[in-house]
Amino acid sequence: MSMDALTATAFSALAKRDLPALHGKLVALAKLPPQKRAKDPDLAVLIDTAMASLRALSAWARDEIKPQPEVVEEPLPQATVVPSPPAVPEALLDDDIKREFLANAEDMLRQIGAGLLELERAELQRDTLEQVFRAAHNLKGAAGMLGLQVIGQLTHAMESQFDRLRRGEVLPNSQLIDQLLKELDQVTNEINNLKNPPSQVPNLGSSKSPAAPGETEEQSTIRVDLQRLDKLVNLVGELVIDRTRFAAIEDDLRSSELKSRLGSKMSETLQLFGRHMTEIHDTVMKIRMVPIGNALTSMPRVVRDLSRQLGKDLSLELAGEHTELDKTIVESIADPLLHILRNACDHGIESMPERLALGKPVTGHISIKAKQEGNQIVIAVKDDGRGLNPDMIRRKGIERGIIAPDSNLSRKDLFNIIFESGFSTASKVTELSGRGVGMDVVRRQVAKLKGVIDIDSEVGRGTSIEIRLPLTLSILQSLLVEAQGQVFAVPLSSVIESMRITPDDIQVIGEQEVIKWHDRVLPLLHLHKAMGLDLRDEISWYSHPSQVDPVAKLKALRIARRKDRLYVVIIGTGERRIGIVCDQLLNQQEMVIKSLGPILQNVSCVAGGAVLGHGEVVLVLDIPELASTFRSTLRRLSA
Amino acid sequence: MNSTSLQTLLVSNAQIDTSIFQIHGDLDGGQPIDFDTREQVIGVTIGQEEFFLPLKAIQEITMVPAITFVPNADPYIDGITNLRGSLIPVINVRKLMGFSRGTRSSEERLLVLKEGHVIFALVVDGISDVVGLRPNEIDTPPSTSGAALDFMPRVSKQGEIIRGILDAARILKYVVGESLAP
Repeated sequence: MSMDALTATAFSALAKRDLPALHGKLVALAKLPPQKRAKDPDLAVLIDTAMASLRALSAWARDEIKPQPEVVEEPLPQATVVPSPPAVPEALLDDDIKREFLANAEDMLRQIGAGLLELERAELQRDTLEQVFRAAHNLKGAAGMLGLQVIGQLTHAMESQFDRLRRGEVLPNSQLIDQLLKELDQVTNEINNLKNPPSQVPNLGSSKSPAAPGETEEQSTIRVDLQRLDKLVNLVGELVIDRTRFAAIEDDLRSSELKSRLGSKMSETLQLFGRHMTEIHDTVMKIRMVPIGNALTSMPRVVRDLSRQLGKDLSLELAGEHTELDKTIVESIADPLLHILRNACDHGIESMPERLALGKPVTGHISIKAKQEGNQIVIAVKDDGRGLNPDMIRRKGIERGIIAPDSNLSRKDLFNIIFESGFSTASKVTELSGRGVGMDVVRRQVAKLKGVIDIDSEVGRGTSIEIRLPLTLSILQSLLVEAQGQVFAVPLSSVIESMRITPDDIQVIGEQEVIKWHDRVLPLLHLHKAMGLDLRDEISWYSHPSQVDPVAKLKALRIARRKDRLYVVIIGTGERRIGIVCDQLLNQQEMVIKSLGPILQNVSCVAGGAVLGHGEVVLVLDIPELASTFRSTLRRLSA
Repeated sequence: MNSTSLQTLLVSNAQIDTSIFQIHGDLDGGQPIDFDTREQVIGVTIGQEEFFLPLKAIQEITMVPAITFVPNADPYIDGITNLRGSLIPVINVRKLMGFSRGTRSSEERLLVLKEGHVIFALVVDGISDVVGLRPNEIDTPPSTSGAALDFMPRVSKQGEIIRGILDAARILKYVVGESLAP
């Protein structure tokens, strides 16, 4: 057979996933006389990589076919435990991960145990069943991720039983529950063994030596009710505010002639207090921190399943799982990440023949890397797939009416369109992704967490999505600005720069005010207009501090005299920049952001409120929302 | 009028109860009153009218503090205020019930209410006595229409004057329902 014919048949074998045939063809290709291969060095490399991938592939296939010690034929089979290699390759287990796993595992075991007993007592409790099923499933996932095969197998068996119960294929009876409880005990034993590794020779599979209770080593973790913890966090936040009040008093004392000695004593104490305060604050905040790995535990499994389902060879690399951030953030970032991951597997990575033809390694590589950068966590999801095609995005964007046909967008702006609602480039709707509800939900979720999402891509090289999140939700570094006598807080994370301008610097294009900034045209938004402050006097007359407070009145006078000065705070979401015009920049401050409660939760452009040192409330601006409202007005204007 | 003694801090419900007992003891010259069958309400002035508000819903009564204007909120929301570290939305009942704007005065009070888990505050034009209403002094209002009547499922006919009894739950439902609507 000629070389071309061989290559062609190799591809067709690959497409059919006919491994033996593919193998044969590739071997034949590899055996071609060297001089013939030398003519086409690319092909030689290709063949070599193909061979390697094939070997990996067939190993994988063998794994798949290998009978699993699975469940479960009728009369209540005993879940067989294969006495497989030592329970844990101890060296592989990082202490932190292990502790985390154990803490979770115990909780889940308790849940399962309680659930089982409840099942035995009551009839069929759907909720309970769901709960134990999920607990078993989670435990299995975590064990699988840590390579704890025995626990994995045991929980897998349990999970299958629960699943059958859940589907109503079997009914709970005491015999079944007995057996499940027995299995639960086995798992508990395994986990106890893991906690206090028996000192003897590596313990095989289903050990009969239960760890004596009460003998456990000192407990290194404690599970705390989240509500209590939140209360603590709130209180510490209050203390932070109190400190600023003390600072104000200190200032007064020091500036008064009579009390200046008292003032300096006070400032000494205050400094000490401040130091302890910061320490307590940091510690308390850290209690809420969990490693981001908790959100990533299910990812390897998802990729594995997808690779089977899509017939693609995929590998996933995780890095920085230890990076810690707020528990609520970790919990709410899991879904968006999963979505991005699925997108990468489904649309990003090409099919195997395509990759072969392009001369890429057959295995599609996806990486999720987390790292801390200052006050932020950066999570980057990269794939080495086909990348985004800017032209196609532009066409789709115009088709869907998201961008104007004549709009001149930068490459990055164009990519960011995929986060707009109603946009999906995949012409084929698959089960996994591509319903056009996806990336916009991802962005909304990230924005809700006060984060920023950004995307970059190169055709043929892959796509990378970067999510930046604050370490914690409750404490916010912000810039205080004033517009028409009302103070607002702008989260510092979205502030790029601030500057002073005069009204003469402002130019008008159409109806839009702009200024020139670093050689780009910056659209301006007047804070008092955007926040409807002109209406304030009609709507509410309690809120006018200038009417009550003589100091504020003076300040207002001063501002009125200096009307020739304006301040612009430049904010950025993604690549876009907007200038917010305000009357005054006050200062930067750490503050504890609080929700406005159910009555005011839907107020637009406001992310929450915070209490300042003197007890007054400032509103924290929701910059992404402000920017997107502003953009939609822009679009209306330009249309 | 014993309203000055009520100006500040009826902190918890338990404390409210004891303070009512004290006030009543004073007002009624120590006459025994059967509290079990009576509903405790406080008289509040809104515009020119006087209403009752059940004490059960009230957490505390304070002078009107500094209120921060909240842009884009419903017109009857005066803003948000800080009550010992919690952010509390302030509702102007006068606007809510469609009364005219009126003027500010030193008689104004902030009533902090708790309904379910939601804490919110009402600005009223003044408060007066705490009164115990017997069941036979409470009636349903005439079935004429009117926005304000929605907030008063019951009226009091104690004494000569008929007064509406405001319902905190209905106010809250109206306010939350409206702001939750798309």
